[in-house]
Amino acid sequence: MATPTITSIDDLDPDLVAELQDEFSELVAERHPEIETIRGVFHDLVSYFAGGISGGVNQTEMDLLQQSMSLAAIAANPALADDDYVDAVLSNYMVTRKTGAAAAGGVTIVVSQDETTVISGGLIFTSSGVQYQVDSAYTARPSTTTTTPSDTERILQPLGDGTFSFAVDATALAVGEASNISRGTQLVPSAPPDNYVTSYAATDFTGGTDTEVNADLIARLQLGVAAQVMQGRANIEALIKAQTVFEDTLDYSVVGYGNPEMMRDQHSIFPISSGGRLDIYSRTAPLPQTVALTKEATYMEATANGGLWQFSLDKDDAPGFYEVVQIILPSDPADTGGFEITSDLRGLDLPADQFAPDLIDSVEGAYTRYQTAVIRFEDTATNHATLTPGSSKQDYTVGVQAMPLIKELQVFCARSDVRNLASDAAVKAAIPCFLTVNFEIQIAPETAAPSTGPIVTALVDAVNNLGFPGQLHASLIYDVVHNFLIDRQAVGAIDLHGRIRRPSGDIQIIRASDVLAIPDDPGNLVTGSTVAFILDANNVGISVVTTGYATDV
Amino acid sequence: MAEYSYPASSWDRPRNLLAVLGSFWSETYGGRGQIESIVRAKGQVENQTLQDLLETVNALSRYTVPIFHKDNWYPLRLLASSRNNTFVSVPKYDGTLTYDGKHRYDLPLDVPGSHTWPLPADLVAAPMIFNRFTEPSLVWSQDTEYEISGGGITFFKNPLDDNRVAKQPVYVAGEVVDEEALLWIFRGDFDWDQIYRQFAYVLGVRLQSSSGYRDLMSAIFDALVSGSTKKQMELAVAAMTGIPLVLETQETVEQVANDGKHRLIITDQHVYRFSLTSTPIVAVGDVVYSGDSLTDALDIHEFNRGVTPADLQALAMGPGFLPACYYGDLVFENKDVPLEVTEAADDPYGYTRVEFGVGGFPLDVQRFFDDIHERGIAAAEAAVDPCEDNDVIDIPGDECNGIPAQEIHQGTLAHRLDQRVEKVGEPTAAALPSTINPLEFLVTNVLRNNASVIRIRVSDLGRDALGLHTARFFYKVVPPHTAVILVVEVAIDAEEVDPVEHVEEQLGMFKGLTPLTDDILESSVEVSRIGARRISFTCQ
Repeated sequence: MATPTITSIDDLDPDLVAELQDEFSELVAERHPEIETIRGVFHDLVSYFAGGISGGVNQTEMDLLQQSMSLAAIAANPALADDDYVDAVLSNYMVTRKTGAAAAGGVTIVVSQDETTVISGGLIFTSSGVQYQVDSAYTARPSTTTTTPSDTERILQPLGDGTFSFAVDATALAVGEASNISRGTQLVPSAPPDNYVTSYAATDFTGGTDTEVNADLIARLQLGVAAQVMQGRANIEALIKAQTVFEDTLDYSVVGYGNPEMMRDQHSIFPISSGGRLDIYSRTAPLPQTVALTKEATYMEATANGGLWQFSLDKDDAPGFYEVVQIILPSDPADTGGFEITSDLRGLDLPADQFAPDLIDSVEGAYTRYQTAVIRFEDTATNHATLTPGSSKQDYTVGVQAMPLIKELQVFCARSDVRNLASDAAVKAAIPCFLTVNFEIQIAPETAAPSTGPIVTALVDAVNNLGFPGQLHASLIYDVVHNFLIDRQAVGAIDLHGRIRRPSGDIQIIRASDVLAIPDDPGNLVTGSTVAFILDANNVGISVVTTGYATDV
Repeated sequence: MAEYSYPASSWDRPRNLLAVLGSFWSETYGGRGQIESIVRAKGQVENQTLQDLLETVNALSRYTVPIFHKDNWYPLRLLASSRNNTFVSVPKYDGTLTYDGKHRYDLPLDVPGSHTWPLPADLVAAPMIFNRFTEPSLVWSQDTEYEISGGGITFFKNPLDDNRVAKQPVYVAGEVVDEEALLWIFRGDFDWDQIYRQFAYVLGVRLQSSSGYRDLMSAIFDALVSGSTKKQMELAVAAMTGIPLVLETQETVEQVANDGKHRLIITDQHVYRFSLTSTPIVAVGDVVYSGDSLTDALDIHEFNRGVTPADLQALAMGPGFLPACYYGDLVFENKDVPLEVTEAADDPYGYTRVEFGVGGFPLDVQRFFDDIHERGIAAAEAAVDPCEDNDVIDIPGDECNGIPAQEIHQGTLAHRLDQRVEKVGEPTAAALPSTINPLEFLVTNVLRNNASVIRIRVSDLGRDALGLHTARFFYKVVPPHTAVILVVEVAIDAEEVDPVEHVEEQLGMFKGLTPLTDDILESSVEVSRIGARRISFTCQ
């Protein structure tokens, strides 16, 4: 690696050169006033080069060398934007730059005919400007096919409404978090196959990560140098992220003794905190993932519109889950709205024969891997006339939304080679504030409407990487959106709408047009240290309107 | 770095430099004096390069990263037109001026005897100012002939009026428009934000450059690298307060002295400097250990053994220590207060209830003891395992009413304070202590588990103290399963008033305000009437 050097006199700071030249001239003039040092040959050649330029080059290179030892200085000085310098600094902190990855998942394609359908290997689907390419060519065979399909063959599944579906694997063309999308997200094909009806994400597309830039790396230096032990907050985060399985997780907020959100250390007869407990609120991914489960439900009673059914979620179904987002019959397409949930009763399932954190009720256990639930919903599609309450059973496909890796994190933090004796760390998924952002982009009549897909992608990326900020400023939205606008285009009023699901299950709505602040409500475990903003691309509403601007003449 | 010696290197020995050029230039050439001056000047320029190199080397370590950049010689150019005429001369509106029509808002103030110019960028200190490098006839020193503050440099005499100062006219379009004086700052300190730029950015800790900042940054780094130890907390608090703690594993106090500005405690390994108002708590010959306090200005106390410092007057438990439903802090004083006992017969739950004096909002205090009692009853009524050696109280049965004898846990606070050897039935007041020390109670039962306290006497903060606002950075050092309670002791100027000599009492009338309207609920009037009738009935 070459040391930073000055290659042109023009790169020198003129003030520094002048200062050194003055110093040089003054030193000579004081002893030999007969030498003309203000102007002339001595001034222009001797003191300029021997003093100003020579000293300026040496001192500037010294300064550059010093700057090259700091990632903050490198980030601020384009002249040092060299990967070699960055990597040299990173090595001192045991950090290496992460390269990005593209998200992968499945695409459900719905067709109108039970006929062989061919999907070409280069077929591209698009959602919010992000492109996904099928992993290979696929052939979907009619539903009556009895032969076992190969890896690149699919059997059409009847959906009950005269249409048929099959799923293919696809991967985003570009790396980045923006390629992560939720199950059910509409995907538009570049060349629709024969008999095409619709297509959407069959599963969550996951695994998309950004290539780190210097700002990301600066944030990671602290964790790189921190001892990987269950001690200080940074140490705990460093310990977690040092594990391969957790290295791409996003943010952690460790709540402990003296934090008002910590009430698990008040379990004695004295209502005063005594310490010794940790709650690790975890934002493991930009978006929670939707886990599709097949659950057997029990028919409970008839209702005016159908029947009331009930099923249970145990602690391993979707550890630390937020909500049940969809209940459909197995034959229903994945993008069906689903049945209405009438009751969501959370519980706790703590093991008796192994270590578990000191959790005494479902509020303390909310979003931990020990959380369970009993869900009731109203099925308005099934014929209930012949069913027996309490004994009739039926399978449903249940979509459960959860932050990934909560169970794995809890298991890790409870390991005897990780935790201290008698320590108590409860891993919880960050309390969710499900966000909806709506705004107008106002443009002049003569300007072309901006493409909203990349804007949505950038917004989702920005908001979901805020960590535990405590508040979301509309200025952040303006900042992101303006990167995509040209002259005579601007952002109108922004509506920020947040839905916080408290650990008690209560819903708290917050709304603002300037700063959406998380309430400081430690009694409900809702504060800036526990809540994370979650923005799905489907919840960004952008209207491009031609309004306000006078006609450009 | 701070020490300056001359000559320090070959660059300070121009004759040696001249010799390097060869015998012709150093011995034969007639104008060798001029050549010597040139190599001398070159040597001084390279001296600065050497200084920069040393700073770069020192910047490799967070322990030695330069606080300020040293510039050996810096030209200070003073324009006559800028004297008392820039933003630094604008009044600060800090109460020092009386606006009686003589001063104008937001305009520079020309104070007689004060000659202020803006400081060069990043300059924070200029120990000496010369009028020339060699054989200077003008040598001014900071705080004697000039001072630096508020982004400006203020001379007590106008340099433009001093004939020892080199001056030159400033021309624009061939006409003299101004006059410029040239002075040379010797070894000025420039704040290039090196502590932050090299290391502290990693931690997100940004403060004004100072030695305390560097110490705090290093303490936090140490805590990160080694996983938070007591030592790092001590170093961090010492940096924050400017009050040193014992540095080495073991030291012996050799002298306690006073240099007129500071109290000095000198050990066999270090000289520790404190404010004059602090009181030493060690004597000559004492052996002290790493992290020990040497004066009463700073004390770190761990509650792990349940010991309450006698001079800790009280602790306030607020958010973070109490459940969320409390309105304010509860104050636990370090003094004996009566134990108030409600015996079981008078308690709605049938358990002896105790309370004691705790400061705070009355409803909070009531809630506090309600919680203790309810939780205690729940603990008492938990099932007793006959196979285990439980701390139980025997509750006699009542054969007449068919109530069997039973055992309950020692769950309530009264149970736990019960002094009886044979615990049969609920304790009465006679079985309980008559007084209790609330703070000792708190420390013994709660804080001894995971808490410690740092007491800081504000009046004794060191000159290099970073300020108590930097306590927020403790969050990076303190393990989250523990807590550090910061007690800031503020000195109070006590005033005594002789009530006989200086207080006059006078009786007077005070008229209350007349309400414009005074609505009374009908229901409340009815209740009042009912009360009156009952009294009348009793009298008959």
